[in-house]
Amino acid sequence: MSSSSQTEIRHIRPYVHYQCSCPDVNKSSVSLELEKEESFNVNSPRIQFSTFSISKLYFCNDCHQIRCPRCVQEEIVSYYCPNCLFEVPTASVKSERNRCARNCFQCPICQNTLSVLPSSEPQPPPSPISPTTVPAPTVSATGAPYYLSCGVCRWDSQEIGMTFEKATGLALQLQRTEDERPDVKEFDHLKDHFEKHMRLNTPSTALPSSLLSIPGMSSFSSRYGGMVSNNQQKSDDIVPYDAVAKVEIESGLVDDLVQLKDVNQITTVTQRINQLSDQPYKVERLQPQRIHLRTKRVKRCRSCRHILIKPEQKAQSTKFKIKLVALNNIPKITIASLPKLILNQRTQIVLKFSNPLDEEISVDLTLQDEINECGKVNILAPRFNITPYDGLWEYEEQDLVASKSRTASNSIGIYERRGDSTSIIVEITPLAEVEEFKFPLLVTYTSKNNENDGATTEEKTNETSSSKATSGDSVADESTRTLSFWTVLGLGPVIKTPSGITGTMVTGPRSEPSGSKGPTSRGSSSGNSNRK
Amino acid sequence: MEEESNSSSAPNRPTIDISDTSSTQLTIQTPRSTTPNNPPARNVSPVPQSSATSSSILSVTSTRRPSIYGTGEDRIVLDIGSLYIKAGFSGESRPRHIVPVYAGNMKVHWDPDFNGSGGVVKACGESCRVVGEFAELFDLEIGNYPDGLDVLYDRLAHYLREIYFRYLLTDPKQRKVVLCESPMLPLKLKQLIAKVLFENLQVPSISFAPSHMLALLTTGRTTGLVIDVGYLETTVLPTFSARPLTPYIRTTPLAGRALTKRLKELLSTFGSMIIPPSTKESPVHAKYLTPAVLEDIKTRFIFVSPIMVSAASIGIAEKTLVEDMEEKYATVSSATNVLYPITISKSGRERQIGTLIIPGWIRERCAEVLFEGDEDESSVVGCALECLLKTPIHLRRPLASAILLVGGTTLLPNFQSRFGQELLRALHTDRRFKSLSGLADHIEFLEDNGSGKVFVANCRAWVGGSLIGSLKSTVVEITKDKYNGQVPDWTTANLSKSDDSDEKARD
Repeated sequence: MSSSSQTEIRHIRPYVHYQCSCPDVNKSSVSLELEKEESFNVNSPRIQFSTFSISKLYFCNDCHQIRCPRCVQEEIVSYYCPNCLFEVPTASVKSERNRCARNCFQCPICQNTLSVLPSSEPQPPPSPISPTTVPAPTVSATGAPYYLSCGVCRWDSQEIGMTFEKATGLALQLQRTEDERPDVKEFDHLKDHFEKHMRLNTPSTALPSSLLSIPGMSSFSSRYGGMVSNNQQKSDDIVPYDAVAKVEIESGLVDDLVQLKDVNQITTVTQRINQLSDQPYKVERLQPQRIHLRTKRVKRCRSCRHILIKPEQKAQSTKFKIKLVALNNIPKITIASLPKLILNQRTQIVLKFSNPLDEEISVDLTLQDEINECGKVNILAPRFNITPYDGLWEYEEQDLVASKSRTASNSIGIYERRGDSTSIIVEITPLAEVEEFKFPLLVTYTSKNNENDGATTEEKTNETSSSKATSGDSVADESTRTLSFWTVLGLGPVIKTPSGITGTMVTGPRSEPSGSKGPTSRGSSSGNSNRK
Repeated sequence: MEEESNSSSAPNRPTIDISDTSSTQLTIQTPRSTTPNNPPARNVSPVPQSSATSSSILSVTSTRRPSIYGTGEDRIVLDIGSLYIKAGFSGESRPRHIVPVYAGNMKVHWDPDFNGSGGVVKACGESCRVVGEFAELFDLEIGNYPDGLDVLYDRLAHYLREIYFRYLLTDPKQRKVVLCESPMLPLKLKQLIAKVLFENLQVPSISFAPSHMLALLTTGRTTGLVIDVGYLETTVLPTFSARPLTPYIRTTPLAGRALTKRLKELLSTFGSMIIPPSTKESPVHAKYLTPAVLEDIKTRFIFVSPIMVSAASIGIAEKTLVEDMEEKYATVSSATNVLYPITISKSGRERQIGTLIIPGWIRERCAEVLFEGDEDESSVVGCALECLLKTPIHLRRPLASAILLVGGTTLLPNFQSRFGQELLRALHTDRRFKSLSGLADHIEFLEDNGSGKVFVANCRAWVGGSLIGSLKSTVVEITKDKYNGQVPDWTTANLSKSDDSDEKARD
């Protein structure tokens, strides 16, 4: 196989994505869309913005709805540095430009984290390679003993003549050069200039007013167009401005570019946009940047305002006070077995449905009525039950579990029942050679809540959910809850002939994480069920 | 707050139309490209002596003190381009972030392992990665959206949310927004941006500010000829005493995108590749020239050279066919060939699969496309001179001696000096610009004086927005309460007008 065709292989992983219809968000954007649930189009480019893997989804218990990153509201709880995990007080976040004010820097070349190292012996201030570099902030007579070093690309700050006297508070030591940057000074000067100008010109004179009439600035004032006198011009124009800083173009840049030998001498866009003060062309002008802070955020349901996610404030903690994620609330679908899809050949794949709830649920699967251009999809068992989730399943031995539950799986289309999951068989007949075989699947599940009789709340949720249930199976029973949602299943490429099968792709799909609990599925390489 | 400032205005104001006191917009009945088939208005005729008061909305408020923590009053300044979004806080001298959006088609949700063909992983070194296939955020021609604007809405909402929560780390609901807008941005797109900001992010208010004007302010001047060579197009807008003379605007599609296209043509015709294990040079397959690769080459290795002597002696820059370029340029170019590694990423790891040889003359002469114009598409220089030609005679000199080049494409090394050269050549030799030839001695670039390149040219509009946002004044804004789907624009009279009157204004 020639190497050129290797790049042709597209590594589209199989996936199961869940759609969040964002009912409340879509309501507000009126004119743009009128997407009915029936016309769920997997090929619409919008799909990538409305479908998510289950790990990205939340679940609002009060609305009994899936929530996605688009339909939650976020509030920042705390700011922290991802490197030193120091929690930055809100008050200083902005003044520190959202960056760690302590010792954390990222490599200007590869953006990995730099570490502070002592130089083995005190050296004279290293002579910078380029004369254009910014002078080291704390070059002492004896030479500063500490420098920053990148463990990934081997860059170190001595290359640009940057060393530090102390190993702590590096950001503070660099602060001075930061504050003296010409663009900062010039900006402040400009601000003073225009402020002074505005003080001198009260609004009534109206002459320079359009300067700040922000939308008005676009209004063209042509009374100065033709017949304006010189006098008027003078009075109208602003007093001459004298710059305080001047920055010339990088010296010798064009010559260097002409004679360029090594591509790595010129900065990439990524490197440049990490150093916005001057966006240099030459690599030796890059400087380490302080590490950007991150946030912990509370997420609320957009319609009922209830909190879905509430992390603990402490940066070190990875726990959540409130964590309502979809993974714990809706059946999880895993592609358990996925043979290679071959054109016009019927293939059986196994989908595993896991029940995270404490109640038994019954699942209804519906395919789209319209013909899928990728091929035919046939679900042998569109209705099945899944036994409740029990923590014990996680501990029981795999064989035991299997033997216990296999006996039940004697219905058509059920591949196996095991613990809190049921695996079903779906027959796929690809009819077109596509890069990605994908089909939509409407999942409706009903949980039978046989413990309590919280009728009032149940009723409410039934109303909202049944209005969404398009498969007509709206349940009136007070002790049940029903929810429908679309999913998109992507099964990877369809190939023409079976000759090219190498088996590598067969193993690929199973890298799909099969969940946090339960034994991983033992998908056989063929989808044939061995039911009795 | 608002007063009509007509005390000193010219007596001759036939068609003043200020129908809403809350608005400062004036009716200017000029064509505007919002329909798919009309090219962007290249020949906007000036409104003859009409339309004009500048209503004052300036009022100095002295109550505001800068907070020690710098919170509260600062606005968010956004400059949304088709390839990069610049974002930051007002009162700062540079944007906090320039977020590349061209790589963000988001095929698979932020999966760092994803790589389709043309897919790139842009590690920003920070809290987020942009993954996906190359896709410009928007196009100036609304007709180029086969799926309607919905997808753009989704993308924009996604990016802006990421920008607020991952980059700026601030709650959109708490800060007002200053939006730098290009005068040629279609109204529909502008409305869409406002919609995303108001409805999705729930910002309290938006102020629109023309980007050329803002860029000019960063030089401390209020008069100048601002030439914005961006990605989608080049726009030339004269500004006099802080008044953008919008009717004289000129545009040409020769800009960053045309440069990318030329680069691709040249590389696929004259470039070569070495793909191990073979050691022979083979022609470049188009699939390796992904938009991301081209963007990388363009921003790193392309530069601009002076006019070639032979061409200069002929006079007007003539168009050379791509096929003939090697013959014309290769022998006289001293630029070195560059070996550019082509990588693909597989399960998150970059792997080099070959080396692209970029001939030196391509690096040197690729940008010729910007100066090549013809009858249909003026060159960047021709565009500027046509603009000058349209302005009233007594404005020409002050404008010609205050030229400011902004926009990402002007960052090409040597761009400005070549621009100046071309300007002089056109003034001396092109008969169209004969009446301007007197200006030849007065051509001056603002970056040659004053503060020079203290602000990078691709950020100048943003910096101006930051400046405006930080001044102690009330700037006119539309607030969330007043927002009804419409935005102020120079093509429409005021906020309250409905859609059909917008249509009328455009027709």
